[in-house]
Amino acid sequence: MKDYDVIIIGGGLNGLTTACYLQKSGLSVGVFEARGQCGAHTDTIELGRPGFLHNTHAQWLVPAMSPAMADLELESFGLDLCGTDVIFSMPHKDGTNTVQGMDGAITMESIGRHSEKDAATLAKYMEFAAMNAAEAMELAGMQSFAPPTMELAERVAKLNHGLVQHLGLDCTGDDVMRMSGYEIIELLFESEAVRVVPGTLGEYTGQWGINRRVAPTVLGLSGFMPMAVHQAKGGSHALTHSLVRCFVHHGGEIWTTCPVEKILVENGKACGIRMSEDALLAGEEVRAKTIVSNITFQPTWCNLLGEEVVGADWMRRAKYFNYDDPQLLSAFFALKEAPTFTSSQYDPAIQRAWVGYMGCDSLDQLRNSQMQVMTGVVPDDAMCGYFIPTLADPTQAPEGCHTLNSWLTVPPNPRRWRNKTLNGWNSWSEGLGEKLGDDMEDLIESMAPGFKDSIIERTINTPMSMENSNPSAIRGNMIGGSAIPEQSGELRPLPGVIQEGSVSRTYIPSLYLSNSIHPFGATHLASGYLAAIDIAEDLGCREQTWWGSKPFEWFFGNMARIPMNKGVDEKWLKGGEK
Amino acid sequence: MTEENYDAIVIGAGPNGLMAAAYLQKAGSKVLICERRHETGGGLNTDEYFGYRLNLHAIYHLMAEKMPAYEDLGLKDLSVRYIYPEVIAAFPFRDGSSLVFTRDPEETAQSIAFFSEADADAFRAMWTEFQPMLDEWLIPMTYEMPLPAVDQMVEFQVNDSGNDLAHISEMSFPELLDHYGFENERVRMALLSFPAMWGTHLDEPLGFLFPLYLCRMMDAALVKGGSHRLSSGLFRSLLKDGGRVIDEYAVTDILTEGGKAVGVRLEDGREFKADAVISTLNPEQTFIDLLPREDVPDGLMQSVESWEWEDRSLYNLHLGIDSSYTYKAKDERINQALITFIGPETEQDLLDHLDRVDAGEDTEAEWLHITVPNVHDKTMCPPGKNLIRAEAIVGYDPEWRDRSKAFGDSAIALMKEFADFEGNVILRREVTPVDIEEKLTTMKFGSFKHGAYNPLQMGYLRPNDECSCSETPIEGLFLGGASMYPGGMILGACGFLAASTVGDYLQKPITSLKVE
Repeated sequence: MKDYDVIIIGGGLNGLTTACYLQKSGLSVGVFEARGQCGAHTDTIELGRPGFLHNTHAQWLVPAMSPAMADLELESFGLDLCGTDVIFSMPHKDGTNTVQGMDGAITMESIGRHSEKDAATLAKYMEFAAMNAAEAMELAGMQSFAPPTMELAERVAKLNHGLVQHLGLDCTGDDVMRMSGYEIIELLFESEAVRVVPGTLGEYTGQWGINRRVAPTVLGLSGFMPMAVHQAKGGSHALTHSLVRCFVHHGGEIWTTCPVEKILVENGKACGIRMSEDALLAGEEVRAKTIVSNITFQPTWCNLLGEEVVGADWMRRAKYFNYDDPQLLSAFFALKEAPTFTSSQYDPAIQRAWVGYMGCDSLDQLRNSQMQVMTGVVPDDAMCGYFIPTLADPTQAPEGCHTLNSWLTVPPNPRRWRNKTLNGWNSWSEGLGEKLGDDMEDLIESMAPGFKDSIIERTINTPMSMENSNPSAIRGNMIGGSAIPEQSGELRPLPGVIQEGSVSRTYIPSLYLSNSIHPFGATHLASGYLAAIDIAEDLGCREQTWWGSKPFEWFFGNMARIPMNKGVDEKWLKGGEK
Repeated sequence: MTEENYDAIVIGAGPNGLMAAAYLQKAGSKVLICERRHETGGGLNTDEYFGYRLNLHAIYHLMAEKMPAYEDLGLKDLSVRYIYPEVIAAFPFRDGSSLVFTRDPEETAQSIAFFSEADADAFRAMWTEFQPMLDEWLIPMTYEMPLPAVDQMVEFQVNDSGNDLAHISEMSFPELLDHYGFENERVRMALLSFPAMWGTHLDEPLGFLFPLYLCRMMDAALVKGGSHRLSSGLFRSLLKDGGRVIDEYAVTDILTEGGKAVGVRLEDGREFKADAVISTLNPEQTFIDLLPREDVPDGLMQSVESWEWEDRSLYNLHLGIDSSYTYKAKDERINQALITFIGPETEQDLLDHLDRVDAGEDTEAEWLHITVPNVHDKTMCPPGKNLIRAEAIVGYDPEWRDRSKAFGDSAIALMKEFADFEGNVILRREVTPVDIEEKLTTMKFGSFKHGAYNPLQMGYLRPNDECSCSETPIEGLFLGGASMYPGGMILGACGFLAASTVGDYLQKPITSLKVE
């Protein structure tokens, strides 16, 4: 087996991103993937009926904000992004709804119907954003695509201070840095229908409003700004495909069905890998100057390195790395038609949103649910997020048909649900997922009558099946370890793992991480991008003419030509929106 | 709107399309391959289904490393590695006895001897006679253009094995077993299972296929990590050499100018031009759906319209269970077998069963071919679990889905007669003939070889005498899929032959690859 300059363990999105950047920079890179195909968290599978594509993990694709989109020319490798012009919607029990559009006027109108005061607040927010657009955009980019530094934090605090002063809130920018998400929302808005939008959005990235220090993120979401959130033609897996095509096109090599058993460490320095006996290259060793682990922190430290390398103290700390905060229980539906929400009579814009959340009508309800999940209880109130990717990309279902994915946040080890005692992790093999799926069906039916009659088939994805899909996603954790404050920012994954001034360079020479590091796992490819920068600098190949796109640059340059509403029925479109 | 020009455009990124494209690109042509689905690979499909790798269509590879592409395209280094189980086929019977076919013919003969010493000797003699037929004729012929039947018969006369092959080539399968002297009803059932499992009609005069079905089956392989790894290797070979793939867009037209094929149009209106167009689709799609009527000569159209689909398709039940799965038969080797056949106990049972299939009377699973891939490859499912694939030959019925669940339940009941497994079913997935045709639209009526194997649609006549060598009467248009000689079943042949023909046509022959 030949040597490589760089070995990447794990061909998920971030591993592939690092691989593409380094291969394109002229290094020889080998990716070793345990599964048969790359991109575990962007699988797209026909779960049953042919032609119904289900994105079994990530639905919410945000590569448009990533420098990788332009640097790696992902579009030319087959990534066709698409979306809907209404980017988020919440139907409420009282027959109303709240929607957020790419066009601020849509959002403003929706919010104004719930509260004139909140609309006025939002108008002032938008005014401030317009005055500080350059700084706001640069900081938003740096929060994902630059190391978490003191300078950045101070700039964020300063900008937030200006914002809260402009809005006349009774707090300072420094206060915001310390707040939970809900505190800032309650200071901002009076209407529960408005509050719950930024309140739930954090769930999409695992950053819960209940946590301290989440307020800056939630404050950002409270501006209801256009988001670089998309689906891809052909499903989420198209993002993996584009990275794979880019990597192979530039000469990179991918070894699939190659679970790695050990990272070889000699004289304290990482120098290669050894495959497991089950691997395609059974038991073989491969060497490289640089090793990148794109599997999560606990298995990297406890299994691939092991006590003989890291010592007992690190074994203890790694073993109890937190993967246990919110997970997802998902239901995938093949539908004869898209749901028609009752509240479309209140505001038909809801019919154009491919992303939404339902069953949550107040911040207290949300807070109680999150408290329950944090303490091992399945929430009493059924509330769920939903995606209807076929409104953006109708090719993900046979003509006229649709898919819908609903999900609720659950504790990975549920102990109780509505006064019933549960069996923790094993509940997932005992049918709890199907029961929660029934609950979600009832909830959707209550918001969109006729939904149940339109179901052709349903598949449940539990945290346990998530872990089976991707064993490095322990407890099914989708972001490389819980996004709790003590595992965030410069502390991620744990203090002391990463060398100062870096995001990915570990204390073990030549070993880098591209997972479980800053920021969090998501489809913005940020961790892989940051790891590529560290490694390219260390190996002396950072200066590349093609490597210079800025965060959001591709999005703002191309947003106008991303197809919108391609799967939305004509009757919900005003002229020219399709 | 016309985009870039190519040397060759391939329609359909199944195994043959990918192979043709990868070969041509490697030999220096500029190639575009177009695929309707969201992923390439066609019947080489492995769904990663929550940690279980389901080979939903093709699973057994009969030519594995014997296909020229394996070496020519460097597939070994593109994560394509084969697993060769020692025990190939097992036939457990209800009385606890069993027949076991292994890679070692003498070991197989000894298993046959338990039922009939005479049949064991017949097997030894037949096996010995088959080897030169395979080495000198059948395997090389798979990767060479076919000859008209008369010419082929003349050619066979050059040596003994050719004469032997000519002698059996037009026998039916039961006649062939008579010819070699097999008497035992269980042994005959087992031997007939090898052609029957591929949906062929046993009474057709297709005897030349028997040595292939028997001996190649005894060399059958699984792709490590699932069948899709083979298509993925071909795909990466193509990309590595600079080829282009457009998936998610169906080809709606083959463009012609003055009766010559010059390119394709996609569903979104984009047009791509090329000197050669290779269709891997079935004859109806290629000549009726994609080409203008006036460009298809009447004679060709007549033969396309008389194309016969397979009347037997496949039903597959995939189960993920959290317990062990162990056969009750005394011979424990069965648990290591690549395929275990259960149901019929005698030749007559099998023939009666197939008659019921053809009459649409097989309401319950009667004959299953079972594979537990994780026995051979632990990566196929999570640790501690078992993944079972049970396949049945069934007829086509547009309402198949309505009886899919009951049929699956009957399959489980039949399996429980022969095997112990009590655990929870964690995963259950059924694939009916309707699912096959909806997913892989070239396989109309679930016709997984793209068209029946009968004497009028085989060899030089597949799909017809004008098109079996890849060239068609339409200049610039070539065939490359399983409806062409030599047919389906992941032989790696049709795409290879198309690449040979088109490479010569483009004056960038793929034989140049051998020089390296």
